[in-house]
Amino acid sequence: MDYETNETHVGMADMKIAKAPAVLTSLGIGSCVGVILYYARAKIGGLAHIMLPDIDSVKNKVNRAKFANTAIPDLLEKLENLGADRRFVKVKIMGGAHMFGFSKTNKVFNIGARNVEKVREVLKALKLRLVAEDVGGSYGRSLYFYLETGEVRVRTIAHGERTI
Amino acid sequence: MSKDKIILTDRQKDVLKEMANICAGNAATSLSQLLNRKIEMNVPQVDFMPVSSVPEAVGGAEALVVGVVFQVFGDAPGVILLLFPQPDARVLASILTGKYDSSKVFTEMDQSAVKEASSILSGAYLNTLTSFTQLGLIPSTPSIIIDMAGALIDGILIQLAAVTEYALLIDSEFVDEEKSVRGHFFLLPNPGSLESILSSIGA
Repeated sequence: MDYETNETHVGMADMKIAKAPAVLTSLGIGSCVGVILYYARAKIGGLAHIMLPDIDSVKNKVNRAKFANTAIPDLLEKLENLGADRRFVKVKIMGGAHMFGFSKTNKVFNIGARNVEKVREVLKALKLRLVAEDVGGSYGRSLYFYLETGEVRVRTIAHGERTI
Repeated sequence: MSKDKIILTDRQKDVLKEMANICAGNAATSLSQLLNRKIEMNVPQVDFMPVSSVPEAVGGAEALVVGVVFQVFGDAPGVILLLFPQPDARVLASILTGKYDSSKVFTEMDQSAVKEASSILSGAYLNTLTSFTQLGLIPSTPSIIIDMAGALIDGILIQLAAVTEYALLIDSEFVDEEKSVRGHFFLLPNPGSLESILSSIGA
């Protein structure tokens, strides 16, 4: 099984698994959602940078890492293959901003909120525990996920920096 | 034409590039008239790239930019995105407002000025594109965002990502040499729109 042990960037519609002392990063997340799974006992975890809620609602199903309802189960499966016990896997989510002034009722430009809603639904169905989140607003976020501690540093341009 | 990976012939690429060149040229002329100064437009780039590489192409996911976004409605829907590095956006605003104060934040007035310049550019660009293609194309009102380039672009790419793994980026750089303002004008046609554009000009 492949996993990262250094600092690795997870681009849009991608996912990576890593083990301490790795750092997984996703830079400039807007309406996308960064989903982090962490299994503290083995210091392994994964980050999925999802773009869309539902693989079943689109024609183009090439990349499973792009969708909430495929990326999260895939990520969990990879961690379980490395020995993670899902009862102790902790989840953190970040992103899902509403970036544009365009109407919030517009389906296309309301995607941030729809992404977050679907992520919660998938986590519930998988009985995964959401321990922290930093979602919504109308600004971008960069994530730094430290596998050593399980902490996630969230950096923004005008809305401060925090660790969750 | 496959929806998933659209492959353009060299001829189609040339036609798109030439069309973009003339559209961008007219846009630059309109802005020149508004500002009463010389604005140059470089030869456009026409690139197909994986959706995930677009943030790099617009200057890096974390780069601080001022972005103005228009939705394009009509026969070939898509998105127009203008990107300015923040210092350049301030200079552009100061040309319009006549005020430059480096100690001040990017004010409401500055934002309005940048939106106005962007509206002139995109209006002229779409007018020219319309006269080429005979397609009806109408821009929305602009939305301005000052944030990381990646965050700004991902919302735009999401609607593309539902259909395709690839984005067509028509990128025209415009430059005011004297005041050193640089910006990028991106046209991102929706996947079906590219076919409409190409077939309307017989390419």
